[in-house]
Amino acid sequence: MPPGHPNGVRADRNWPLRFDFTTPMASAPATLTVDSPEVHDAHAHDHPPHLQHHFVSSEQQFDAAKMGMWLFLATEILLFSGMFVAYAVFRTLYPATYEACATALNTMQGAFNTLVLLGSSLTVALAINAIQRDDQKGLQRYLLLTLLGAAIFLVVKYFEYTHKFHSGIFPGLAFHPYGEEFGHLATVPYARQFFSLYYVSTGIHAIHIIAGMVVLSWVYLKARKGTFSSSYYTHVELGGLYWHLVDVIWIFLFPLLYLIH
Amino acid sequence: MAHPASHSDAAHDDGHHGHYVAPVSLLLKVFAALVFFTVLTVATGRADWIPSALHVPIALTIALIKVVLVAMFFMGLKHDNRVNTVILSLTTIFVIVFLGFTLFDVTQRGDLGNVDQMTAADRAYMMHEDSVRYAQTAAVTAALADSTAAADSAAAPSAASPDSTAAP
Amino acid sequence: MAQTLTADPHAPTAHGHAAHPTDGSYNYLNYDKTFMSWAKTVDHKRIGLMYMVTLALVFLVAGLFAIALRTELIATNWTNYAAGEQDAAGTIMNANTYNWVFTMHGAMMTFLFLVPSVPAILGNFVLPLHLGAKDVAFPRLNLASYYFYIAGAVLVIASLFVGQLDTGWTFYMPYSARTNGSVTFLTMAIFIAGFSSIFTGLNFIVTIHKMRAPGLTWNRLPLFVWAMYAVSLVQVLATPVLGITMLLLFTERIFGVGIFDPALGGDPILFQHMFWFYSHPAVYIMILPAFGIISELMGTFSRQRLYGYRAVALSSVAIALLGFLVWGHHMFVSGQSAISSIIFSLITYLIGIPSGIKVFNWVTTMYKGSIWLQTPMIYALMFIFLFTIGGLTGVMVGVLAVDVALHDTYYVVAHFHYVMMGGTVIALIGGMYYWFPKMFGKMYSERWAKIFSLFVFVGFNTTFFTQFLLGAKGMPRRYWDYIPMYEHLHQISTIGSYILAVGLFGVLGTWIWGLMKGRKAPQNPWGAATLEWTHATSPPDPHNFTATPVVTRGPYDYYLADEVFLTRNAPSSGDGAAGDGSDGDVPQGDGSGDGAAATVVARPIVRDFKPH
Ligand code: HEM
Ligand SMILES: [Cu+2]
Repeated sequence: MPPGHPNGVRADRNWPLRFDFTTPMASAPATLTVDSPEVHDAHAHDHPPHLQHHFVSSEQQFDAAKMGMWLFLATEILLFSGMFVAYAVFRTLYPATYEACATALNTMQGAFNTLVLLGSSLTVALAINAIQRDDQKGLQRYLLLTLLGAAIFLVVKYFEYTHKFHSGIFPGLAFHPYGEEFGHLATVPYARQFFSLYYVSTGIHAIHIIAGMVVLSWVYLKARKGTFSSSYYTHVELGGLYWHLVDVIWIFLFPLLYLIH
Repeated sequence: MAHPASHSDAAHDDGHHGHYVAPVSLLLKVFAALVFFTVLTVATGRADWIPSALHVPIALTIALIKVVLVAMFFMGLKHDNRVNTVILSLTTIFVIVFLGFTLFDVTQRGDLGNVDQMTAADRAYMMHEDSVRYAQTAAVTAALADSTAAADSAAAPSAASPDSTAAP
Repeated sequence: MAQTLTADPHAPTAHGHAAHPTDGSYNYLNYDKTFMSWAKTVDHKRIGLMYMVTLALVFLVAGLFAIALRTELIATNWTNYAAGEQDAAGTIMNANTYNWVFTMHGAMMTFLFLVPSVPAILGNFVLPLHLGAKDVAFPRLNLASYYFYIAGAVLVIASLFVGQLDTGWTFYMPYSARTNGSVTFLTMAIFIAGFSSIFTGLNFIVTIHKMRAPGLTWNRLPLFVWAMYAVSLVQVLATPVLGITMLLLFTERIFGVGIFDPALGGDPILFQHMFWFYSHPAVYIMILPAFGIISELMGTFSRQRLYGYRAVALSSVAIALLGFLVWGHHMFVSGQSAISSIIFSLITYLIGIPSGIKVFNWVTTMYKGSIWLQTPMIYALMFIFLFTIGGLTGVMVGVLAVDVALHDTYYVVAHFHYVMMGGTVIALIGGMYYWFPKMFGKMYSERWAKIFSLFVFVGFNTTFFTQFLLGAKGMPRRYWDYIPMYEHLHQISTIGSYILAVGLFGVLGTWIWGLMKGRKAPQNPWGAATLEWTHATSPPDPHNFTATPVVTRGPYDYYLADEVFLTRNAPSSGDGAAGDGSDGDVPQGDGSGDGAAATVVARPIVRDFKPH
């Protein structure tokens, strides 16, 4: 077979994807290498206890975990996107409703909660920063602060919800506003859709907060046992990424629900 | 190298664990910026001198800036493997596609009069009329409730059935 | 050395893997035979087999539903009221039962069978082998994904106790908010099964990015891997939207939130947008993996480098991404705006292009190749024939003006069965035959497999081609009854479905026979050039490869390997170079551990298997 035969192997170009997809072996010799167990043993020092057997290096394991987390966050964003689409559709169909209803939500409570979530995002970032510097105490302290922020957020939400329930603002068919503060909503057509969307989207968001609290508590317990170090903190990083996402979703929910005039 | 320890994309620096460590001062600065933008979004959201058509774009722009800040610095995308940025961007594009096509359809529905004779503008107008009618209905209900001293004045008509209870 | 965090009983011992025989007699099937070792396994190969058994059961049940439907339609129940006739009882079931049966058939086939099918079975089994990896990136997540699937399936079964689901697999509003409570169960079931799909996709993407063997560059990936990459993208990006749709439908039913329900001021067309934003890409979840299988089969059985490798690889990704822009072609007569319909119709034409590119490349691959007509290849050829019909009729119903007439008729039914059954299922069967020797280390009976493939082909076309004719004549889909003018075609279709059933049971039979009585399979019966054949035993070691393979050439470079062989080994070896029988020894077995990195000269990729 002459070298130029169309069926022969072609020069290996890093094509079609140019970013960081290369492997260093593109110019390997034209042989098949088989590494023997001894070769593995030579790398035994590379295998710290947290390294799972199907990975070659901690770095590979960490990168894979992180990429997996980002993909998971992508699914979360798309999940919420359904609610944003529903929101946008109804806002387009019934703009007056949305203006009337948004004013019924307590902007100050919403803004306060936004700041609380941003603060907890900061503390998670600081927690990662701490463990990167091998600061165990700092890691634990910042994780606790984050959990505190999450708890405050939920308490505020609880008061927001119950306050509305007391005036008959429920999701769906149970929606029948009355009283001084909310009674006028009874005359606003399609107000039910607004509040249903409000409850469904903030409700699902709250479920994510709770899930995030569970994850971070678990990370905290592991941190107390001293599991993490500057060379291994995958779970802190992943928990942190998830928590930031919860924050990101709220950054959009807050102005859309509470602020739009 | 006898044994190619490096697999795939993890190849850049195998062996040592040199992750980028974001300095605390940077994190604090980002946080300050986020607080600033939150205040800004509340302020612009409440400002009456801003034309109402601009409220949503302004709020969304500010939210977007905030999200970029969080993603780049708190979530570390700036110094991370590029592929994670690609994932986030792709996701954003798909959200926009989803939102864009659906909204486009909603605003154009009824364009040929094939099903629904009303366009969104008609509907908005009708809604205005609806609310006037609702107000009347509510007033009538309240008056009735007063005159008969009915117990449950709270039972305002359901928002969903505008026509069934409309008073002429 | 490697300590493991997983419940993995076959973790390597302190001195590597050499403690076990490396000839395939110690393998992933038999290293531990207890039930719990299967239930808790994190081995991608075992998880693939577990999916295989589960999905076969689902396919059986949903298939029996289909046979029941066809049997009901074998005769018209036409009632001549004018002549004073009474309501007919139906051939074997009444109209309500029929609604239930076609809904269960459709919902189970799409959500529980076709969506997971190829990725869950063959993807799980083959992908890490193709990459030269020990496992997927997240083995425990992989197992979790299986159990999420089971949970979803259990909820579907639970729905049977609540009521008869009768909405059709699309759950259109507002009927789905009105009918019985089984819909609520199904929304939960699909939400949960969605996690299974997402986890699989996520796992595969990370695996492909991070777990490739040294030397395995992106343009040396087998096309099956490219297809799995594309399909995983779709799974990750589309499934969450189905999740939120189901969640909103759930709240609609429980609370009456009025988002979709027009009686409460909601927008039922919004439901269709959200549903099809997932479900059109979902048809590519079903077909893209099939494309991957066919690419493998075409190369291997034509013994020719796949023509247009890059075009085929990239068209997979193009289809995955373009597939997100056409969902409105399911909504042409829904009340969607006309301008949207026009735009969606135009983009729908575009999606025919990458599909066409693939078909042309497969056909060109065969040109001047030396075609070996084994059963997998027969299925691959069948696929090309049937998918072309399905794809072209897809473009036809994508034409706005035509679809207004054809929508919701048997024409559409025929279209999607040609792509889903004629495409996905046929490719799955072909792939199963192809990897069967690798999975179980046994050969099936080539003769019987060929005989039954004939039944499948004839049965399939008899069943579904008639449905094109029915649809063109205006027979609506999802009807329990019809007027006498359609009776003959319906009868032919029903008889075809029986032939198809015989063929499919026969296929199952050849596999069971192969498992019990089959000849021992050599390592590389087909002379394929991808890693699972060249570097892993049949069946593979629990760790896939006894040593990490290093890749030095493309997945279809059959000729390159021949060349190396001819120049270096030809004088001293009696083995034929071009693929007659030879011993079952292929490079990897030589690394028996006596020294540092052993280097083995590449040997020809020959079929080490004598066709009878
Ligand atoms: C060549 C590309 C394809 C095009 C242009 C196409 C186009 C279409 C169109 C326009 C419809 C709507 C017909 C109607 O409801 O009136 C449709 C329906 C359908 N297609 Fe395709 N299609 C293609 C490939 C596929 C593939 C590969 C699959 C699955 C593997 C598939 C599965 C389906 C299904 C399940 C339906 C019916 C959905 C329902 O229940 O209403 N299609 N297709
Ligand atoms: Cu479609």
